[in-house]
Amino acid sequence: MSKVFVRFKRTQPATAAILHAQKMATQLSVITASRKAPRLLKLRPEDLIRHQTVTKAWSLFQAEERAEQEAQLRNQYQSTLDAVELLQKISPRLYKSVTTPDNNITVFPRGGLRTPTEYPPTIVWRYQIKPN
Amino acid sequence: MFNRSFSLSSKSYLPGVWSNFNSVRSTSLSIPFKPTKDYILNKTAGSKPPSLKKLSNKIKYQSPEGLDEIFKLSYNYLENNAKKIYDKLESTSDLKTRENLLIQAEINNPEVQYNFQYSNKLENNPNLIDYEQPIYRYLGKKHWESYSQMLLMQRLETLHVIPDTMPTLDPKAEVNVRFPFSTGLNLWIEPGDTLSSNTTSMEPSIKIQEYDLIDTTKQLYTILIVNPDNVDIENDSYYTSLNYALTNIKLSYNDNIVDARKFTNLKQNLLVDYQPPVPEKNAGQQRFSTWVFRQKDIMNNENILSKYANKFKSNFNIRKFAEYNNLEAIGAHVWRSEWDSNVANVRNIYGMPQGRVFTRERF
Amino acid sequence: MIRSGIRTMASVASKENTKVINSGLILSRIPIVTPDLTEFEKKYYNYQSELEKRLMWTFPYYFYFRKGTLAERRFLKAQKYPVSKQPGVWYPKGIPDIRQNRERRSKQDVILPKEQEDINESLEKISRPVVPNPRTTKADETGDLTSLERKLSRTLYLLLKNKTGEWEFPTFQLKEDDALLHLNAETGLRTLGGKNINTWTVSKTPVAAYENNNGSDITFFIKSHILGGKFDLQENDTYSNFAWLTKDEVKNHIKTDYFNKVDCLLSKV
Repeated sequence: MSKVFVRFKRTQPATAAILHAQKMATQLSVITASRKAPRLLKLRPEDLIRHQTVTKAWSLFQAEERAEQEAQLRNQYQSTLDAVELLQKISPRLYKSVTTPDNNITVFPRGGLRTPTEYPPTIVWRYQIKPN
Repeated sequence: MFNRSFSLSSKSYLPGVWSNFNSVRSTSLSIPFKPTKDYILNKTAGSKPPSLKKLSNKIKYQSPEGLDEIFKLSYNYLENNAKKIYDKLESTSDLKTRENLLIQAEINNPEVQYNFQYSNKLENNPNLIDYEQPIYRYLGKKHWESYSQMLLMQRLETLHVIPDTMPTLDPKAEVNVRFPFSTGLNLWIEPGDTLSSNTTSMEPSIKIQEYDLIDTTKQLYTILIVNPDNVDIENDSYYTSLNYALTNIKLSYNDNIVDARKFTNLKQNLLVDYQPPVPEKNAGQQRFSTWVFRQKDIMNNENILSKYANKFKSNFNIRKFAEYNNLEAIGAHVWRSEWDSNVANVRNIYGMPQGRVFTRERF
Repeated sequence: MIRSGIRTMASVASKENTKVINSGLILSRIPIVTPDLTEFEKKYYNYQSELEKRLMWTFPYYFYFRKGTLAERRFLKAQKYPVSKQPGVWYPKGIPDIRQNRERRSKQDVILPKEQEDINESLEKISRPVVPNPRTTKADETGDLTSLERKLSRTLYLLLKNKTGEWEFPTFQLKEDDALLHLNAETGLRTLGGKNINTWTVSKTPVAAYENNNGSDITFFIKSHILGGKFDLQENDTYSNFAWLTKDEVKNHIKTDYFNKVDCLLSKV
């Protein structure tokens, strides 16, 4: 009679199913609020009023900034218009040249303009340009 | 400066427009309870809201982090804006514009907001909500429009008070009705409520809250309570009766409950004495609608009585009455009554004849 | 206002008109870092982020650290755990309400385990700690107005000082018959500041016109950005100095009516 010891019997299919189920449970748990939601934030009347004041001030501040920006844009447009009209009076040739569409100039530069970041890059400015 | 500057610390004036209570500025624009005012305006790190009474609750409560720091800046910013508006106000003389500017200057004041949001708006304490102030009138109107006005209009329309009495209503003033406590119900009644005959056995007090800018020293009001559901068997129809009529009533923004104290001059004020609702059995519900009018000028009650007294009881035409007297409808209210076991008692008290009992078969 | 010597040579202008036409160049260096926040903005953002943290769901660490791993153990070790609820204990600040190791009545502080600090930080090492560069540079400290590295959070504009001692935007007269405004400005800039400069002219349409000397001398401004290289003032007989300035500084350097013309064209950031 021979004994066969199967010490670490591999039960691959069953384990895989459990692991898969566990993974699903974890992923579902991440996107559901159950047991993760904090308590409701209850403010006393005094604090609620203070919060409303802050919110109001912020929205007014934003509105002011926006109005300023819009006014600047309007002025810029007017300024361009005035300049071009003046040019038409003085020099019809230049007027024609600036009002004829030209695709070459409106192309955004290759490499682009750098988007501002919170902190500067290690090389702040490239002083040497590649010769064309 | 073009740099993104935030003007507050550069200009520090003491005290600010919102805390400078000189003779002109009403104290109702400030929170009278000092601990609350201190907490809102100058909260220190450890302090807890005074609306919490129990010590254990105070220890437990935590106000949001970062709020104290930002609140000071926000308050100064808003106060600075208010100061600019007050400066503009000095060079303005037009009443409407002034009213608008006064509203704009105070609407962001946290003290005003606190007073308004957390105190009784209907039975207002003039120390907290002073409707003489344009800002409180504005807030009151917004509050009224947000619910009560819509409810009123819905009830008027579904109960067909409009157009059974007046053709339509452009609501301008809030009207509330309450019957005296001795009749058992001491509540401001909701438009459309069905009330027992006992409750309505004595004349109601009517609160008329004006929100518009008017000259309270001159403006006069007329109040009519009409019942368009009296049974008219001869014509197989209904007729309208006038159950209560008050004229030449003077109101102010804060003192505006119309009851026996308000009409001292009976001859001038009381046109028709109160006739309590006494619906007849099986005649269904009757609508009692209260109408409030602004008068163009003073009304001569003796003239009206001598001409139309006979029409008030049996065949009253509220539209013609309003047109004839130059009345502008600004508010309304309605309650319903139906026959109950107490009607006979009410009839007794007022010395009215016994009511009829209607059955399906007429005989 | 300037260049009386040049104006005598205005042969082109006199053909078309009696007026002298110049093309001006508003050359800007856009900000390299985000704008500085005002005190109000800083505190408001702080307040909002605190509110957000308070209302945030509990961090699902089990999603990021698999069970039984070293990383999980390191993470759990680094956390600070709230006071737990025990029977028979009086809690003055309210009975703890803990779920998944988070006090539900307050914000959760998620502490990341600290990386081992390397003493010899070399750029090659990927796991070196991130140290941001400072937002102010050497040029700010020394007050070097000609540096392109000054005031990283603001837009800088190129201003030149002419022989009469007045500051102005680079201005170049149209000399040839077929000269165009923007091309004239571009070539003018390169003769003045050397070839080692890369610019992008936004449009050939002028954005403003400034009439000088009672309207006999008109400058049309063209907008352009510097992308690379530098402006290096060459030997010339018109300008003696140059500077890269913010809008506030531009205002202090140039005449009021000149500034009012270009006010709306300059960014306040």
